[in-house]
Amino acid sequence: MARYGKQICGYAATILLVAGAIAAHARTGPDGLQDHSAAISSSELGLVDVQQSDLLQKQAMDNWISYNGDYTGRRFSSLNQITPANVSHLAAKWIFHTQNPGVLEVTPVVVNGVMFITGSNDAYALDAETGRLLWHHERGISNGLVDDASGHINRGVAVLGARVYMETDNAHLLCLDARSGNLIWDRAYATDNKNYGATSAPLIVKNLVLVGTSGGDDGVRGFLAAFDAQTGNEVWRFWTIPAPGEFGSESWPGDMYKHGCAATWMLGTYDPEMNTLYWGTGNPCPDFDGRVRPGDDLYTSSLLALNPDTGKLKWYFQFSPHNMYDYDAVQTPVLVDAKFKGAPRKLVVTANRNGFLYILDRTNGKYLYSKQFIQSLNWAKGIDKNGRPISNNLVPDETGVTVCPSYGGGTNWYSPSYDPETNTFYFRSLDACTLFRAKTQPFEEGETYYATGARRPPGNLPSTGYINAFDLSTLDFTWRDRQIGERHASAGVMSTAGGLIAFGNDAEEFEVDDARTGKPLWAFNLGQAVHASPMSYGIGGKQYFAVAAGDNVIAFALP
Amino acid sequence: MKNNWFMRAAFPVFGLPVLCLLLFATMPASAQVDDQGAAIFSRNCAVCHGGDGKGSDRGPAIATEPSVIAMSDADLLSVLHNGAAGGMPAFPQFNNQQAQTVVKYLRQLQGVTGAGPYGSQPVGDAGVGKAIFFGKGGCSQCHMINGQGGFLAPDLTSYGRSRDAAAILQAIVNPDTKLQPAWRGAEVQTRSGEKISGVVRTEDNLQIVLQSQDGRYHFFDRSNLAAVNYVNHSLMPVDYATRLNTKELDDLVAYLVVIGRNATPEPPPTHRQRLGHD
Repeated sequence: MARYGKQICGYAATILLVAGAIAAHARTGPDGLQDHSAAISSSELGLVDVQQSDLLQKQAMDNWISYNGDYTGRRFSSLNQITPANVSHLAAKWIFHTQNPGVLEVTPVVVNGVMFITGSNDAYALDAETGRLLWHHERGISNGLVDDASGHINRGVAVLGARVYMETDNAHLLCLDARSGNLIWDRAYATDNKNYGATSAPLIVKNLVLVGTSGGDDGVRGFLAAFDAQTGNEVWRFWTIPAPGEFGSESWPGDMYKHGCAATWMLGTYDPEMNTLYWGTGNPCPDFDGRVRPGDDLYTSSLLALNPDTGKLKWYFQFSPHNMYDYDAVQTPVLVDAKFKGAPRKLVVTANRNGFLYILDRTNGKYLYSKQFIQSLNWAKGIDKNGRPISNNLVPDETGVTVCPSYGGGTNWYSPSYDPETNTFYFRSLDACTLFRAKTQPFEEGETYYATGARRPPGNLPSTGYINAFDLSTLDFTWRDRQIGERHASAGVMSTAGGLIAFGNDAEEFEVDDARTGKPLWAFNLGQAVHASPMSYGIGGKQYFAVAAGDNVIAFALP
Repeated sequence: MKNNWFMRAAFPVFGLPVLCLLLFATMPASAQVDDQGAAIFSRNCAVCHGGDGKGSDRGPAIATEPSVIAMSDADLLSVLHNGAAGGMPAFPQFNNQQAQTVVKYLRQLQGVTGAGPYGSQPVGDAGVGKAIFFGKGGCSQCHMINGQGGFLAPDLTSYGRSRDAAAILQAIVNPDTKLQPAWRGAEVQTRSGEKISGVVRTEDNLQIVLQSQDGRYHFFDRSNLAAVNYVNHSLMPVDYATRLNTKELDDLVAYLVVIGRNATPEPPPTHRQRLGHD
């Protein structure tokens, strides 16, 4: 025994006997949140050991267990301490500076008072009450990447057991020890085209870690892959561009299927009762030149319903067939159980980059409803009874054609939110247009594959951002709040049981509004652009909001 | 992989009912900082590489980047005198003595001791050393290598990459000689008399966070504590020189060297270029 042997034994006994009894809330008072049935107990605070039952929780309470807070993707917190009546007292509690030279797009995940964030290829564990660093997994960024991957964007982690999973800019899946940040394993999962990258957070379903890729404007062949969370072995892979001879392959002559994109660059949602995974796909490639990919270009700009055990396709719904305007369909497909036209239905609701909000029956992919939310929309006359757009045949050429919504989309990857208490769907939109030009170009590894360009069109066309509240009962907007500020934020929305929505606004502020009316109630000047979606968590009876801004993560709470 | 533990000096841990804690100092080889080297570094290098050599927006982390650590002294002197691609300017104004002093100081920041990574070679059997690491030595109860082992002490996967065999042996048999105050264990006592101990993961004047053996973090306001007692020595056992025989120590060292030199090099840290639009 080492010279400290006696002491070691004594300490060990102390840990074993006292750890559970020690007031883990030693730093905070016992004042619980209202209706706070799932608060962290003192025996759980500080312990990261995420079980399947945690992932299956239907309410996001103290823990924000995954990127969207729960499997439905609704980004709704059941915490209700912060309300319209007291939000004026909200104040910054801490700032964590990552020293990442870029702009963070991460949504923090919080497990029992421990926050996990990412910035580029780095992961951090923080004390969620103070923002102080517990560990830092440092990994240099990759050179030689293309387009979005070369921006080294990372949107966060997934957690299972005592393990943290993240993607890297060059499409590796990392498994880290949640207690130390040590690397447990590292799997390169997209190696046959260097235009692949990854920017998303992974999604855990059962014992699988699900990952997609970026490169969706760069001539990659999209896929969704599932890895065993324990071993890191690949279990299945679903290609989002069919191979020659497969259903839908008529759009991909020759080896075009290898470069058709339909990238899976945001994470999907999961219905445990239906045992179905819902995952959106990106635009086709080349983005603006449709002549080389005739037909609908399956499965681009689509929502896929997959069996998570096998990766087999159950159904698909294509929002924008043969798209030529970069209209990805990776916006969060939010799972909603609600009455639709009087009858209870299992719905999937999504505001699409193409400027329409869609409601589908998620049991079979049947189109139920759509609503145009971009006033200037001109690429389609409308949506037919089967959900297919009625195209206006605006074809980009070398001169260019003006199309609305813009290149950035009527909405985009930043989160929407669904409040089950008001049956309202909240999302950010951007009413703007782009001049698209096209020129046939060959695919070249190491180069983007837009073929060719997009820019702001001449003339006084709109460029207006909104936060929207769409009532799924009345199928109409409850309110639309025009955003004021110098630049359009790429910032998601969340809602809470306190009757609030929260988001980064166009004036580089974190803003909280009354969810029922859209009335702005409070804002904090972050002084940095928000390119991320917020979340909420609780510790010791206190509700927090957290959001990434610039290269910082900032947390807010009542005094 | 590097995490902040790796940057943080010695590893005085306690509260662990284990037979063996193999803990390595990872910070400067000597507590004696070369004043001239530090002064030159501070005036000329720190503006880009940071005062601790761990990098900034303007320059890479030369204290932690494996490819820099693996460079020979001669190569480092050449970069200093001639500059390098990527924006590293030349410093021809330093005479040889000054340049060598800067390199020596950088080696301290890197935690590189002895003759450097390509100095003395291990003489032991790495395969046997692995068995000792995960078995008789008990090292894996606290240390991790390639995803296997414990989490309270530094990950040693790439430890041997930048250290020579003699230095590693010294770190095993004399763990207390390189203690740094930045990272340590503590036992706290609440005002009601309860005690808890663990590794200090973060602290300031108001708060302290301990991590106990089960991986849990314990968060405390100091104002709620009657006492905080730090353990000012390494919990790395000091009796390896007698607990393991010479052959076993050589085998253990050989394992760490071989694993470290086979560790996958990390992508070099460079700078973000742009914000993607997706």
